[in-house]
Amino acid sequence: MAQTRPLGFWAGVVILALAVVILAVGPILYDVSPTEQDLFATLQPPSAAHPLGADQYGRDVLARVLHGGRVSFLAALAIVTVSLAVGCVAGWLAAHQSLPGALLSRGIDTLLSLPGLIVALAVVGALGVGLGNLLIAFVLVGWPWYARIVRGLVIERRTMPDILAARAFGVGDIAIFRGHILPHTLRTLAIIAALDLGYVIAGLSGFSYLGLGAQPPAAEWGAMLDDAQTYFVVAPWLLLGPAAGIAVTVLATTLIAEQVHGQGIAR
Amino acid sequence: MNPQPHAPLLRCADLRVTYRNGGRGLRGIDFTVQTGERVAIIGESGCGKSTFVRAILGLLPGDTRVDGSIVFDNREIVGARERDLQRMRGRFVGYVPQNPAGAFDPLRSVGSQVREAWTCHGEHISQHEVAAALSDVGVKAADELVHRRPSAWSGGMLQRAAIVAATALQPPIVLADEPTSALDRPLARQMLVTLAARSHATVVVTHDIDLIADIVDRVVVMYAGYIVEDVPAAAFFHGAGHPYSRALLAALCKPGQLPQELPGDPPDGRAEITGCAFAPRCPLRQPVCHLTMPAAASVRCHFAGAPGA
Repeated sequence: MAQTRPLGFWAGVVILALAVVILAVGPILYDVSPTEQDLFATLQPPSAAHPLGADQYGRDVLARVLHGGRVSFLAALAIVTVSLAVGCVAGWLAAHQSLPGALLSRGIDTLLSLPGLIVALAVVGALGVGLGNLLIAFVLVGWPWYARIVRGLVIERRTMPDILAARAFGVGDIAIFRGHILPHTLRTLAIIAALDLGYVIAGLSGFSYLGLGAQPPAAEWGAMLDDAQTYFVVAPWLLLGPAAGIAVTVLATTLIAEQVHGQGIAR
Repeated sequence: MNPQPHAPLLRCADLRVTYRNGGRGLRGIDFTVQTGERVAIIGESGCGKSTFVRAILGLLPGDTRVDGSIVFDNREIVGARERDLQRMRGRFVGYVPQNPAGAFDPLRSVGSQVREAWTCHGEHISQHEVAAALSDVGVKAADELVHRRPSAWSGGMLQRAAIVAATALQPPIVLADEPTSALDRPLARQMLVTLAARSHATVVVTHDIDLIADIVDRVVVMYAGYIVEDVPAAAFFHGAGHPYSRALLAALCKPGQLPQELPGDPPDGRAEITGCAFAPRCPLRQPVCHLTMPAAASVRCHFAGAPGA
């Protein structure tokens, strides 16, 4: 049964893929401005004109969910990609059996011992509020995880006979990493990055909910939740769109995570 | 590269290797290889053969301590920068790995990896030329196989590919670390002949002593990180001088005769050895053997030349 993955994994993959397709195509098909105000439509319940209702400024909630989701996804994707790239290089350097390598490795351990979200909060506090600074904060917190994993994979591969043979043929350090080590880590890293994506989307939404991320009038799921909460008693439907967006993406990555956890990563 | 006629190609002097855990890989090796020489290194597992090969290639783990000197073509390798070592590998010293199945990255085509032996030194070679080089050493359907991963290759074919890669730039010396241990005997023999034909000076680490008898010029016997015997091949096979060498030869399978097992174990890598390392297992031992190490000589034994046990 090791070859077949349970339903949950595929459900997660399908949900994630659907979410990506909807966010990619949605704003093109549903061509409504997410920031245009219509003060006659404030806090309207769902209707034909506004399928998910309208917020306190009469802005279309569906359009805001679609555009906000794009921001969340693209931001998360950027964070994961940059963290992954930095982590790969740092992990490789940290695997070197030298003083700089050992120092870098201990540095990574030190960063990992700090609570990530609180460090991110401190970084945003130092740099100032805004989506750009939030990205920087998340990358600063995220890369050590990848570095740690890559370091382990490099150390594991380094003593393999094929690496020894390639080195003995005269293949250089960088070429060994690029050609003989990185391809072996891709599967593990891809799975971890997919999981991280959900975590980062939830984290970004959390920071935006606190007002530390995307700034008005830009749409973003967490920021929308913050707004919707104010009008929860009179217009509870405002919560549905952004809450569902966050819940569904995190659910999808968690479903994948559960499965990968059960089978062991990158078998 | 312009070696003087009689200058040794490779000269190791008092080479000592200590692993991080305190284990001694080598305890003082003096060894030279002349241009064109074929040398076999034999000895039981753990005697330091592979450590020796890796030390020459500069491929020991980074936290290993190497003392003494390895001079290759007037270049000191001990303590050299990794960049210089990397340039030297493949161009000045080739390496044939132990297990052909493990010697290639399972995710990449064999052709691309053999080709790397040229391209990593900035030499350009087409995939077709790689296939031709592989055909030369007897790889069948090389044109098609070069694009396949190692899993599609047989062990014998992979070992040929490894020999092509190791000798790609015609290095003056090729080191082979048990190149035949994963092959059956006829194939092993063929491989050694192929290797000998493609390299100038060759150092072969092997367990198959009888296979190499007529291929090599010199036999070097290692024990517990020492070289205990270093003699011409003819002399070795007609009457090895060191009791340990005789024990090794007696342990071979011969028709109509049971192999004789050598009792006891070699000393622990961390042990301090004062006398002769082989003394505790030696049938000829005398009190002096436990007290002093025999002087370095072609046969490192207090009783070299004494009648055999």
